[in-house]
Amino acid sequence: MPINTTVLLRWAVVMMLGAATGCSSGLAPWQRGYLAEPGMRLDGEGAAARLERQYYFSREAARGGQGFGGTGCGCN
Amino acid sequence: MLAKTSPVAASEPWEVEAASLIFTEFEKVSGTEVVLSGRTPLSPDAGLTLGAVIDVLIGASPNGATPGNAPQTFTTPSGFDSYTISPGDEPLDDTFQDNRLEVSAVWDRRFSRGVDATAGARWSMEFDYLSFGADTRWNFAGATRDTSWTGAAAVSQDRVHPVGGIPIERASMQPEDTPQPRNNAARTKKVFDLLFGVTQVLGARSVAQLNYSQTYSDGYHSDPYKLLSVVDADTGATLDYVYEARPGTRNVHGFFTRLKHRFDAGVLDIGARYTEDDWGTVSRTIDVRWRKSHADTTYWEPHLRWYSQSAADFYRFSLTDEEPLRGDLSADRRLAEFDALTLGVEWGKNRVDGSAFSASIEYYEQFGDESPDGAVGVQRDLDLFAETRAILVQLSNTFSW
Repeated sequence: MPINTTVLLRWAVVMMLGAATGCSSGLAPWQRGYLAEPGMRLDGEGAAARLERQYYFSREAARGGQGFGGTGCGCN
Repeated sequence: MLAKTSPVAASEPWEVEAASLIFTEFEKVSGTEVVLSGRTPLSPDAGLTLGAVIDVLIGASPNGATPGNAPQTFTTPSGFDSYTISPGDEPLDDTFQDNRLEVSAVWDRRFSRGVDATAGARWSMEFDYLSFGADTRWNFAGATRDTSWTGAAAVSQDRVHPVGGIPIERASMQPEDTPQPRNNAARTKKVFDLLFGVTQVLGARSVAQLNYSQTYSDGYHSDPYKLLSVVDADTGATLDYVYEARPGTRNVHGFFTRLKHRFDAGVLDIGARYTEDDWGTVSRTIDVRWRKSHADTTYWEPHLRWYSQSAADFYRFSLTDEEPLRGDLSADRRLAEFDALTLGVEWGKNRVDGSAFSASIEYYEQFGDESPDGAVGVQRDLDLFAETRAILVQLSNTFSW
């Protein structure tokens, strides 16, 4: 099935090229203060995010993309 | 002999995370869900996280049938009782209730600087559903950790054993206290998940993420409690109710991207997701958050989420008596075409010891076609997509113990 994701694919190419080249941001340690803030983290899914994802899983047809793995419930 | 204890475990506290979600849907289902997990270090490079989830749901759940201009009586799944819906009302099964318990264990290990992995198992039980799953996740980070790659895989075996047994697909619902069309006590389903992702620091103020996921499931996908109305092709009057039938496999692809940028005034967090599957369902999600932090380490974070999905190929809000009763069919509104909006706000506090607390309240509403093409007779005067509207309240606390 063809994937109609032109915008997403362009973004993906940019991301992948940047990551594939192992590009470093070139930031010195003292320049990473903002990145260390809690609000800037891209951590794995916490409990609150998982609960929210489970609610949407039980009310909508979509799955995957962000969270990982099933919810283990028979709610969808 | 005294049991040896790890010097690490003896001195390190548990990292505990507790969260709850309380929601109420207007005139439908209300629920309370609680998650509790705790991680204890096994060594300087490894740890074990034990978790439990409890869900309690009650209320009235849509049974899939469409509203009618006359009272409608439905047999309960057990076959020994019935309930009646008033003219014009959405058919809801008010005998719905569901309690779920899940326990899990996840082992994590850092193999070297920049390489870490997890392996976990999960067991979930409801009175009519069992699920056992296992998963593993590997993360590889560059020397500066500006780039990290993630690969993950999961598998689960699910078993559904509904009240009254598995209904025969497309068979007619029978009156109470008569033999119901059932052919099995239980059916199973296997689910396989794969995820590949990369995160990249874009600068001193920006970080981004990109994920691709695939979910393949094989087995019983139908909802054994869902019906499909068969109506007169001219008048729209309900003639029969039949049990739904979904495909035996499902393959879902998902793309997710996320960008966080630190402005002087706050953090903008934008996420976008696209999914599509071989059921014909395509979805798009935009998720936007703005975090405004304060000097006292508290923050406010407004949240907006827009979701849009197309209908599954086999979705029908009802069938007419002139259409063949064959193939895959479902009137489950969750497979219909609709949009959904979430608006909310979160307040939180990040304590200096690394612990954190947050509370949020959100409003969720679905928007569907109340008068779809193909509505016949009296159906044209009825609301054929009763939106789900809900209030969701979440609390979360992480701390050491």
